[in-house]
Amino acid sequence: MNWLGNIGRKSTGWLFFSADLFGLLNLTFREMRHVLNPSRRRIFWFLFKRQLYNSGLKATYINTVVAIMLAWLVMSKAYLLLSEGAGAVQYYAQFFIIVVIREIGPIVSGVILIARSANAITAEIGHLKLNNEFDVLSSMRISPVFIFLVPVFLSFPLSLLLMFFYFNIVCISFSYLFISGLYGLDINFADFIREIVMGISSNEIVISIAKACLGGGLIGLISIQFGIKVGDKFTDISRAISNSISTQFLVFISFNVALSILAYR
Amino acid sequence: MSAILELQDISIQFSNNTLFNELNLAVNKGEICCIRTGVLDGGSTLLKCCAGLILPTSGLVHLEGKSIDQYSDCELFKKISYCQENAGLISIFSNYNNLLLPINYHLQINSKILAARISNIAEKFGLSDVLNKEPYQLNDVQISLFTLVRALTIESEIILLDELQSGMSVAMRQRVLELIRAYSNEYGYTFIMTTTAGDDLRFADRVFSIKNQQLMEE
Repeated sequence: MNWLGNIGRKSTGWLFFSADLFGLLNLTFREMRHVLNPSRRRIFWFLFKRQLYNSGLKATYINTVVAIMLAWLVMSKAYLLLSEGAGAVQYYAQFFIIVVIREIGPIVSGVILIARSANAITAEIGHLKLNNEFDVLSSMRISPVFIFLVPVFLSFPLSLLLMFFYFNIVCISFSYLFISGLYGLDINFADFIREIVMGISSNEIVISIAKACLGGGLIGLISIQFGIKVGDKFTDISRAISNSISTQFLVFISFNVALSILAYR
Repeated sequence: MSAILELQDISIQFSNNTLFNELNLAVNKGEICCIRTGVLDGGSTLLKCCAGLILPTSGLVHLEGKSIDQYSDCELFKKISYCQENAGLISIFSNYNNLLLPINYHLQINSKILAARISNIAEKFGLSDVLNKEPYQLNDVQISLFTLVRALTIESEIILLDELQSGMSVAMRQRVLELIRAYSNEYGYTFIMTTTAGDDLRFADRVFSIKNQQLMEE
């Protein structure tokens, strides 16, 4: 009966974790009211831009490298499957939409956000907690949630959306370069772009935005949740980071897979 | 003279540990009071209670004759500043932005007036050179002084200082205490400070010590 106990413990653990996340989400939404105050909005704007720069703009380099490599991989596989012939441009565009825009783009952008920024947030919030900086803010009657959590929660979805958009642009451009330059296919760039744009339905746009916004929000929320759980020991931070990353991968990839299965039936 | 801050029959208890039992204190406007504390006898807790940051198990805290829980956060911010020991700055902001943060959060003051005020006070405390640096570049004494500068910039009526003198050289301590006296005389600020053995207490109007869970005036 030991296995039954393990299942029960895991289930209640997840239940409590979900309840904590929901509570944090509720608190974050409540503290967003401070943005309406002009002077507090200035503080928020400063922190939001800082976060957007760190999580979005600074990820450009790694996002570009990964997009180029994936463009190469995807197009080499596509060439093996589709080769060339009449209507090749439509096949390549369709293949690109299904593989990159629908599935790989959101997942890879999310993985980069988790690996680069979300664990940094867990470490930063854990460090602030360990240094009693939450107490310092409370002693000045400043909401720590508004200062530390709201900018992260709002900047992560936007960062993920921008990263996803940028990833697709780089991937499309380099895919064309690989199939025309490396494999010598006679495809016009304008035709390739037109086929991709025409192949993207409004449903795909909505699903992609939902994946970025909800996925980014979830990643932000989980990274914060593990950060604020840090106790009095320095080693709590490293433990929080490992747990946070595992949970983020699990939740984000499950969310993406579930949304894709439901939306693209 | 009526008291600006009054603690009436305050008891503070954490699980089975009683820190204070029916403690009373009345502090007048413009006074400098020192509370001599030992290790773990609750000096910081008492200051936090005065600031309304922790609630006493029983008893009342009155600020200008009104119960402290009747004030809004913003009103309390203007009236009382609590300067925490060894932790006063937020590491994601520069030192200057740390001074601006609480004021921009609660009040709306013209940025030029504020900049002039900060520069004037920071210069008096010898912190002008580190204003635009980051908190990690400061030592513990400078961090404590920054929290004092922040309280003076806010122009709070009551300033609670937790172990301000710790780690200061004799010359620096003398200069800082003279400045505190000058601010108290000129602007009528009230200071309540916790101090430990070896600290200078001559500048204080009244000195208390914590004995048998009570405050005793010396």
